[in-house]
Amino acid sequence: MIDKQKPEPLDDDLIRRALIHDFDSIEAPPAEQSWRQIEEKLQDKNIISQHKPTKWTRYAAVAAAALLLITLTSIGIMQRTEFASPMAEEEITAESVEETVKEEIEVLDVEVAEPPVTKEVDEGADEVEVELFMEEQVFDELPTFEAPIDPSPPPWQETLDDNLLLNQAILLTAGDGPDYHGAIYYGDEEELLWIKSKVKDEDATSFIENIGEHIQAAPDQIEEINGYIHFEAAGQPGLAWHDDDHNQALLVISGPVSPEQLESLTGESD
Amino acid sequence: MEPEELRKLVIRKDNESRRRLFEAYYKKTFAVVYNILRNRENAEDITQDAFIKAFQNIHQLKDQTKFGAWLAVIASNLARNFLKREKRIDYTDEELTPENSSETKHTEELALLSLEIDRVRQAIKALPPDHYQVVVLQYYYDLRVEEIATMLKISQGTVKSRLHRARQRLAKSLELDSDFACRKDKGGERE
Repeated sequence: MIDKQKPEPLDDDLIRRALIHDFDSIEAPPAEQSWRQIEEKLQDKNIISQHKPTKWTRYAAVAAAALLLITLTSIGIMQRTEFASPMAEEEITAESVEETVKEEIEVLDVEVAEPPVTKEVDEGADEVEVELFMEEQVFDELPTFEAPIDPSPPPWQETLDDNLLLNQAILLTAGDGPDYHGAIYYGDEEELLWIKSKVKDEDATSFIENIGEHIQAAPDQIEEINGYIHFEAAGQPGLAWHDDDHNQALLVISGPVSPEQLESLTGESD
Repeated sequence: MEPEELRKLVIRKDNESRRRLFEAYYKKTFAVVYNILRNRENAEDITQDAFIKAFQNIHQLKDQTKFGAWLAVIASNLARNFLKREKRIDYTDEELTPENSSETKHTEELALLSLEIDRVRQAIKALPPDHYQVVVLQYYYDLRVEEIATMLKISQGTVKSRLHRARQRLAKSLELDSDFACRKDKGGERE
């Protein structure tokens, strides 16, 4: 029987050893069976991807169409110059050549057109790259922006809604506009930015525009609701309001936060 | 697996190489997914999907010696997305306590391990998925903050914050002074 001991200090090595032990001791399903299923799925995908036209096939089709255009145009010119007759003019005109070429291109396009899109085809080489990226971006996020630490921050709340913790106070200095105080709050999945203007009674429109410059994402969908100016930046919600003669804004950097939740958080500033 | 051997296997891209990579990383990848999902069946499916995606996109991996970490990122992202789709972030579905986890079959082995490690292990499993993800990448796969940021496509600040918060949670779970959590590296950052 093991006596309950006082835990060691939480150091890097203890965490590392705990992870190694966890990975070594877990009972995974039989590897052989899983590998067979992976092999089968990979083979299925390979078969489907073999039917998919490659990029060079497309280029070849376009090149063939261009060659055909040149050839037919040459024939047209030759017939008009060497065998000029009312009948020849009637049969081969510039329009008819274009028409023929269009038809040829359409035929070629049909030949190289992608097969009906299925989920598995979607996971072909080019598409997977996009899909993989999408999956890594679990939530939409604002573009990364850099801001220095605020040397003299206002008294930010340490927590919002007991869930979001103040991470750091920053100074938003980008662009020609005035500097703003900023505070980054982190929750389990959320990352929020609270902004306070240093300028007394600043125009709200300018304030929101300046925010866009600071965070490198132009606000849009600007609308006044419930006394707040709601907007979106890079698809993430934000809102601005006027308080104590200064404008403030709260916006989502990442995570699933609704405008309504943002509104409820603004009460925390009191 | 030695880095050079790993690099060769990743470059070769044939079936035998894939199989050897699978054998080397199957269990630990399953563990990462299982600890996020807490469901064996779903974890098995997601683990398989992760290997398939990794093998199909292996050309995107710049540093072949980081295959394990890269696979862990793919797997944990798939697991997180699965949770998001299912809207089922319920940490109480399958409690992973030593009393009822399958690993307790090896009671003799567990008895030989220190209680501290086991407690830390349980605390790590209780972390939210995004915190668990960065902890695994830093402490198991030994990635630096900038490497984690690149792999997860998030800022270094976010990585540091998640590591810091993860360590705070661990300290809280283990009833340690939170100062311990930041003792070695502020915000989990490693130079």
